[in-house]
Amino acid sequence: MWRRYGDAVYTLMTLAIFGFETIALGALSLSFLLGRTTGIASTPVEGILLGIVISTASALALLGLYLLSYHFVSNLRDRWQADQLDQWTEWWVGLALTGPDQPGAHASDRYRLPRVAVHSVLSLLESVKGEEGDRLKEALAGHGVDSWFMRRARSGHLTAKLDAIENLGKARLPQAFDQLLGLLHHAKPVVRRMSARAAGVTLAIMPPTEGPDSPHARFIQAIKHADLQPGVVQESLLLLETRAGPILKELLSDPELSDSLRWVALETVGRLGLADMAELATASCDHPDPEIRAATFRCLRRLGTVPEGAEACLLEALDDDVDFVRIQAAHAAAFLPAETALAALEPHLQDDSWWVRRAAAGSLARLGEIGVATVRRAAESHPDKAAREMAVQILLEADEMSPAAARLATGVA
Amino acid sequence: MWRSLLIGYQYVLLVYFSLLNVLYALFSCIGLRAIVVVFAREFSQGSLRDLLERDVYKPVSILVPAHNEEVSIVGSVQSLLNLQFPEFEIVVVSDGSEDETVQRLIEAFALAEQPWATRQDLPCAPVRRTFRSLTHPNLIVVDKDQGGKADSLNAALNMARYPLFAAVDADSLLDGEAILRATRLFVEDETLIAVGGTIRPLNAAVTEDGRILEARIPKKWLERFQILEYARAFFTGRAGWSHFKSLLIISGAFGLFRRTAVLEAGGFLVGTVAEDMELVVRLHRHFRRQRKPYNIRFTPDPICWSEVPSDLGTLRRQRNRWHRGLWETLWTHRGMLGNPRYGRLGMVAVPYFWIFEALAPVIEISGYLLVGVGVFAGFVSPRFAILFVVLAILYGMLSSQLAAGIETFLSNRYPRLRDRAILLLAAFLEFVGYRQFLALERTIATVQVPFKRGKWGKMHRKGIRHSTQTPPPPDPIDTEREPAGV
Repeated sequence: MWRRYGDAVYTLMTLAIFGFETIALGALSLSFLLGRTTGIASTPVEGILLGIVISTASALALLGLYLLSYHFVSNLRDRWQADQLDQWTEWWVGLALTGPDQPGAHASDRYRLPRVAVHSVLSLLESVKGEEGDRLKEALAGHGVDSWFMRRARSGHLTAKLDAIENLGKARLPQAFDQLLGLLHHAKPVVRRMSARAAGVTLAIMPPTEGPDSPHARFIQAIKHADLQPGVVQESLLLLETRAGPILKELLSDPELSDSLRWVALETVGRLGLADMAELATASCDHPDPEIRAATFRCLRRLGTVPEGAEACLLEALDDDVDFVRIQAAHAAAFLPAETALAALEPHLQDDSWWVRRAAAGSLARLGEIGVATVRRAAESHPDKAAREMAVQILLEADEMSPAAARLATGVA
Repeated sequence: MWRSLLIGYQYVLLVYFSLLNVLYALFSCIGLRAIVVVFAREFSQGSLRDLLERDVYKPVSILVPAHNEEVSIVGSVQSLLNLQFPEFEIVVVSDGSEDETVQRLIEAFALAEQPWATRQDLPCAPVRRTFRSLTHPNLIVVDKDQGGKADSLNAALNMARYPLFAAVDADSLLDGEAILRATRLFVEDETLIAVGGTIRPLNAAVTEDGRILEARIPKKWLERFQILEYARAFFTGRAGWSHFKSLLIISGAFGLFRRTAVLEAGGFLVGTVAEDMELVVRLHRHFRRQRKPYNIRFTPDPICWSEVPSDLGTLRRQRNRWHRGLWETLWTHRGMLGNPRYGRLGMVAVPYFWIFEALAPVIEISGYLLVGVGVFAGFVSPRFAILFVVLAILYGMLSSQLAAGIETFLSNRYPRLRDRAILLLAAFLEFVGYRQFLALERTIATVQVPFKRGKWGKMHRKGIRHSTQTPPPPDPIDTEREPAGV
């Protein structure tokens, strides 16, 4: 989306111009005020004004020149880079497939890799994993690129730091994992966010180990104590992919876990479809926080299952005082045994909340023929108008009713 | 006596001029830092793909109010259907259109009339008919009695099912990734209630099936000047205010909101011509009063392309409306002015908008007159007057160039070197008549505020050029989602 070169110079130039403007306008205002006795059109004020006009014109000319030069150079550079990128990608693919036999694989150790080569291998590493990925990482380490990234990630310069963290995330280097965990406590939120993602993808490729000093345990401790928004934690957990299970298990088994992390863990279990954790998730179905109760049922809905032990809790939640808990419970009820679901959901076709009515009708329709028949019956003859309308709506969306029949059922001309 | 007063006013003007330019420069710096340093680096294509693959997003309802938009509506909806986002619905509301807006949609997207079980969260004018597309299940069209743009948005909000909604003008095109980039901000910040994106002029751009293939500089200078205005407004102004957590405007052409927050604040205000700004100010006010944590921000990444006026008449009416809208909002929320209860919003942002935005054209026009009178009366030397005018032009050019310069870092910038040179020249020519013309129109608008409340004026559109090919339907969507508190 954005070009990332030349921006530092431009930022410096803008800062210089800003500084100059402030000083110049301050001087001008002061000279106006001092010239009050003789009138502002006095010769000294005019002199200052002339000076400012000339210097502003110079700054403008410099800026214009920079922009034109940047535009010209970046056009050339973009074209050159596209060519180079293709060549390097081909070379890296060769290296990933053939290893050290790739022509030039050792010769290139002697010089620092050009930026475009690094860019190309990092793009590859986002999708190439396993043995091929390891070969590419070895090559990167051979050129000292890994230590270069890690040095840059310690930089006090925000631009360099963010670039390095992004690159570490793409490279997924286990040796950088601890450094990334350390950055989760950085003062700047953007650094914490990017580090959380990079740590997540890095941990995803590290071999699973156990013990209080294992990377998994350190990751859990880091996310528990870092000042991260739940969405960011969720993202980093999702990035763990197949490695997420043990971490989520440990989180959900912790009775001291904060509500926000519990919510995140439930959301992640559902999104990753970890059906073997459904039992563990249902332990939160009667949590005092309605957000957690709702997250539990949303998780079950995503998993497509309601464990036996959770049925009573779910049926109770259908009458919860909080509407968004009822909504999620109504969604999850689609995965109850059909008879139980029918009996539990039908009364909610006339729930006070539009969203609960919708969820109940939707879940009924998902029960198969028996459920669709119930919704159809509601569409035709339910005494509550809102229930009839919602039933028609759901049948339309499920292609179980034609628009013409729907118009007839609801009396729309 | 008069002479002393005039000289005194002249001092006020000079201090005003100095302050204004220092603030512009400050916002340029902040905008550049926010955009280039943070946004350019935080989300690569790879990380966005990660978000999609791992289902880390919030589904969005896209609301498109349309009144007599037969020229552009099909292209606009096509562009929205092409968005790279897994789960969204589009709710187009024809606000009592007297032209072929609805008919064009029926033909292009195979709409079938059907009843709709709507909520009545917000009052709105009666709905005549609702349609659903047979080819695109996530496209809903509402035909309702005329009630204005805000009323249409309220009607669309009653239909919307998803936790986030985007308000998009019917004459606009969104970048393919715009929604994804904006929604990720809501994923990572739970307190976020609204996000404004960048608007860029669409005129002369090459489009295909509602997608922008290449940005191009329009032929008319009138349109070129607006490129600079938009760059100044978005890349510096809004980025700067957002940095200070005092963003008061999210453009009606493209903004993303948390539905529950907007419903809690009462939806869009009917009867104003600045429903976009008014909503944002009201959201600030509401959440500050409730002492609830919230965040409203600008992000340069989600880019929306909007057709800008290409003739003087339309431009004049648009700016007149914008300025009246600004006054209407500031007046409606005048209780915030200088009120410490609203923090930096009440003490800095709102006073800034009163002094440096609402009153700016009046001060500018009076400044021109004063210089003329001063030279004529002999208390300003002609040489001084000329130097001062030149300085004002140079500062204006500088702020335009600093803002437009940020555009060069965009991948989808104006591609040719000649384009850049034209923008440099436009920054100069803008001050030879165009700026004064707009200042005069905004001054007239200031006078008209009490008499033309809520009046829009007729807009002339060329329309988005698009192919007639209907895009393939998106993947089936998961139609159920949670509302409040989830």
